Amino acid sequence: MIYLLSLRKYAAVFLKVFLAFAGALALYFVIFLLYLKFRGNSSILVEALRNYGTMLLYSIPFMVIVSGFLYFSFSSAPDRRFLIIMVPLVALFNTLLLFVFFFVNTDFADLVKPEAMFAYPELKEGYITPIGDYKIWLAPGYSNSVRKGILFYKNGYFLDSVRIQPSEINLTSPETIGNGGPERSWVSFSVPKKDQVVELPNTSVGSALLDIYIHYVKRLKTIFQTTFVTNGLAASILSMLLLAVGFFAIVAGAATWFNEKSIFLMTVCTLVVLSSVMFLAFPQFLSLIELIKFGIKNGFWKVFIPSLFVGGLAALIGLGLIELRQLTMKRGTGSARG
Amino acid sequence: MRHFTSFLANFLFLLLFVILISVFCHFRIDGQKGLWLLYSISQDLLLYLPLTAALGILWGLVVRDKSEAQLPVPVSVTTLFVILYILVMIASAFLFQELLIPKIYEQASYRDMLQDRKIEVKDKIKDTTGEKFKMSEFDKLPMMEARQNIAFMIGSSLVYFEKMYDGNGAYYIEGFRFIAYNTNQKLDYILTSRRAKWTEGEILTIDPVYTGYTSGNQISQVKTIQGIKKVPVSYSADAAFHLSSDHRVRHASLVRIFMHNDYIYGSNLNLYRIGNIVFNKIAYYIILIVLLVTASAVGMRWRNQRLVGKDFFPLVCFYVVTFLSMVLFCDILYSLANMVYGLVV
Repeated sequence: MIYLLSLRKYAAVFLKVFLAFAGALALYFVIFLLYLKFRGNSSILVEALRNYGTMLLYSIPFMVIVSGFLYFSFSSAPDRRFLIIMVPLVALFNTLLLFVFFFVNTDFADLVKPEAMFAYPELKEGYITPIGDYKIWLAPGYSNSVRKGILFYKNGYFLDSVRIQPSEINLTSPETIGNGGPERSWVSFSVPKKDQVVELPNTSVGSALLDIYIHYVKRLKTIFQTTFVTNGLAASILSMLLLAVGFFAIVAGAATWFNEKSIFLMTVCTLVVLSSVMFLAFPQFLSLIELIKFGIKNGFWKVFIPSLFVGGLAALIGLGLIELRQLTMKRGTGSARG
Repeated sequence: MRHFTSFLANFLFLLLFVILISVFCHFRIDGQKGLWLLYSISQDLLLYLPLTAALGILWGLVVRDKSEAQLPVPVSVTTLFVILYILVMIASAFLFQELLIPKIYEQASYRDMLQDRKIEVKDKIKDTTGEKFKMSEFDKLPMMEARQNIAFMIGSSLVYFEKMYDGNGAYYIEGFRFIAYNTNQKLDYILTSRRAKWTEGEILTIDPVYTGYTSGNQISQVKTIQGIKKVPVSYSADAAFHLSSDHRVRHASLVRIFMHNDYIYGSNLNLYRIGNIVFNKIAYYIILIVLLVTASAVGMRWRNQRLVGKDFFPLVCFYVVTFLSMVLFCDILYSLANMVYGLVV
C-alpha cells in the first residue's frame, strides 16, 4: 500500500514537472503562433495548439527524467529496501508514459521565421494616414465628395478617385498643389498598403536554446524508433521496461546524493543540471542496445537480450550508488555529504 | 546596506559581461565606430536590463553572504532594499529608454548627415532672431537636421511641409502648403510658399501665393502676397518634427508624447507606427517589473541559503540554471508581447 501511495506522490511530482515544461515551452507556442499569422495560414490557433501539444509529448523523456530526479531526491526516505522496490514501480509508470511518446506519429514543425512582419494600415476618414513615404488624407464623407482627399508626396495632390485594395491603394489626381498654388495635371499613384511591424527585440538566447532542444528531441524520437520499433510490440514493451529499470536505478542512485533541504533552490538547480546530463546520455544508452542488436538473429531476443544486459548493468551501477550513499550516511554525522 | 550592495555587485558584473559581448559583436564583427557603437551598446544594455536586474537581485538574495552568520539582517530591512533596488532599476531603464538612447540616436544620425555633406559646424546653431529674421538664415539649412513629408491638421485645415529643419529654437520649412477648409467642409483657400519659418506659435510664410475658392469648387482669385503672412499654429513645432509617424521613425520618447498630447489628439494624424513603438515600450516596462517582482519573490522565499565550502557544485548549477530559466522567461514575455500585437494588427 505504501508503495502505491508513493507512486501517487510520484505522479504528483510528474504533474508539477509537466506544468513547468508546459510553461517553459510556451515560448514555442507563442513564437509559432506569431509566425503562422505572418505566413498567412488560416486556423492558426488550432495549428499552433496541435504543434504545441505534440512538442509536449515529445518532451516526455526529459520530463520523466526530471521528475525521477526530483522524486528520488526529496519525496522518498533514503531507505535501501524502499528504493529497490520503488525503482521498478517508477520505471513501469515511466515506461507507460514513454510509450505515449513512442507511439505519437505526428511531427511538429520547426520555427521558420517569415521574411518580415507586415501590417496593412487602414485609411481612416478625416485622418492623415502615413504609408511609407506617402501621406493620404481622406475627406470626411469622402465617398460622395468631389475632392475625395489629398495625397502628400513631395507635393500635394487633390484626389478624385481612391480605390482601396487588399494590398495596395490606387489613386488618381487631377490637380497638383505646387509651390505656386494648384494647377491641373493628371497623375496616378499606386501605393503599396504595407507597413512593417516594429518588433520588440528578444534576447535570442531563448530561441537558440529552443532550436537546439527541438532538434535534439526529434533526433531522440528517431533513435527510439529505430531501436525498438522493428521487433514487435511485446518485445519492445518488455525491453523498454528493462531499460527503464536500469536507467531509473542510476537516476535514483544519483539523486540520493543531493537531498539537502537547507539549500533547496540550489539542490533543485543541481538536479535539473543532472537530469539534463542524463537526458543527453539517453542516445548513448540506446546506441549500446542498437550495437548489440546487430549480431542477434532471432526476432524476439534481438532486442530483449541487449536490453536485459544494458539495463542490468545500469541497475547495478544505480544500486552501487544507493549502497555507497547508505554507507556514507551511516558513517557521517551531521553533514550528510560525509 | 549589505544586501543592496550585493544586488548591485551582481548586477554590475552581469552588465560588464553584456558590455563586453556587445563591444565584441558590434566593434569587432560589425565594425561600428563612435556614436553608433555607443548606440548599439546602449540598446543591448536596455534589452538585457530586465534579465541582468532580475538575476542580480535573485543571486544577491539567495546566496548567503559570509558575514550573514554573525550579523543577520532583519527581513524588513531586506524588503526595504529590495523595493529600493526595483525602483532604481525601473528609473534607470526609463532614463535609458526615454532620454539617453533617443538622444544618442539623434546625435549619431545628425553627425552622419554632416559627414555625408562634408560640412563642419563650428558653433552650435541657435536661433535667436525670432520673428525678425533675415533671409540669410536659410543658408544654414544644410547644417540642420531635417525631416521630410510632414503633414498634420489644424481644426479642419491641412498643413504640409516638404521638408522641415530643426534650427534649435525655430524650425525652417521648405515647400509649405496650407489647405484651409471652412466649417462646412468646403475648400476655402490654399496658401503655398517655397519657404517659411516656424517660431513662437506662428508659421511665417515668405511671399506666399493665395488661391481663394467660392462654394468649395471654383477658384475665385489667385494672388501673390508680398512679404510675410502669419499662420497661427497651436501645436509646438517639436511635436510636428518628432511625431511625424514616418516609416523611418525608430524612437519616440514617452516624455515627448506626454508633453504633446494636444498634437496627438488635434493633428488627426494616424500615428499607428508611433503607437506600435509605444506599445513595445510599455510592454518592456511591464516585462521589467514582472521579472523583477518574480525574481525578488523567489529570492525572498529561499533567501540566505547556507553555503558551505563543499556546496560549490550546487552553487554553480544554481547560477547556470537560474540564468537559463530567466533568459527563457524573459524571452517568453518578449515574444508574448510581440504575439499579442502581431495578432491584432
